Amino acid sequence: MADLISKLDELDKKLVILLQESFPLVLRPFQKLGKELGLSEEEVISRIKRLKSLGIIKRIGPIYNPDASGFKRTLIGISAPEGKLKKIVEIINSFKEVTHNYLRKDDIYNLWFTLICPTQRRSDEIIRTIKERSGIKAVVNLPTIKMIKIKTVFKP
Amino acid sequence: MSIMDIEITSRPFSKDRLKKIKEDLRLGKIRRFTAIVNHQKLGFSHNALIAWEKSSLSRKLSCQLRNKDQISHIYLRKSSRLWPFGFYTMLHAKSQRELNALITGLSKLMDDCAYKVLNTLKEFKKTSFNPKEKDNGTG
Repeated sequence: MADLISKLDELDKKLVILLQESFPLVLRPFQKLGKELGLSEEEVISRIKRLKSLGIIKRIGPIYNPDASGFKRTLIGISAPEGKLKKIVEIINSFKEVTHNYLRKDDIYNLWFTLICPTQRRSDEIIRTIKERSGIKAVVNLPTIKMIKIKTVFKP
Repeated sequence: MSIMDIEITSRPFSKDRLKKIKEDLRLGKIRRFTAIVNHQKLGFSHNALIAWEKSSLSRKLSCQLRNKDQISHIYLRKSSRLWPFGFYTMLHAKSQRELNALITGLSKLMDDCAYKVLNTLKEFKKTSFNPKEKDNGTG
């Protein structure tokens, strides 16, 4: 991972920050970014293509707000024994409503995933199904009361 | 290429598409239009979810926390008797030392309430929410 950073020059780093902070919503966004960085449109395009091929930029696009369409969101911690981890991850990830799933260090709950569902009923149904299929009962369900922040600019 | 990931070309938007994006931003359907990066690849190797034993927080505190670059997600959640942690922050750091310092600083702001550090060990899934669902992008 560290050697990836060494492949970026100062302009790449500035570009990565600019793309996260303020992507220009104009017909020719890369020309506009180029003006800010002192680069041609073609150069900005080729740098972004390279950053994407390195896997540094995953995508450029909209971040939709689930609350705007009334979706129910929750964070769930589950106690997955090491021997069954792979199977349980498979069960959890099979639901398209699961957006994130991470192994975390904790003495009780080690697998943490987020669920975004159109209805509370669907959310409950998925949790119930995961419990049934995995045979794990130790689950903590933490529905969102309030989102205070969801944003950051990662500065290389 | 999809609606979730524009084409990297001179004119990635049609006029109509651009208009729609701006409208969705105004209506709050879209939170932001941005580049989604792989933060691990940018050097953020030490990430942790911190669960704090707190069920509410002042305006001042939420403002202070929002302004911190190293915190990407902040949520108040409905906790339970067996798991009394109602407040969550997702932290990103470039070293263990940096992460520890960040946690210590936050702990002071949080009046030394009890907390759990849930270090990120492995990512199994990370996708973006898409209300159209047929078109989930990574990130």
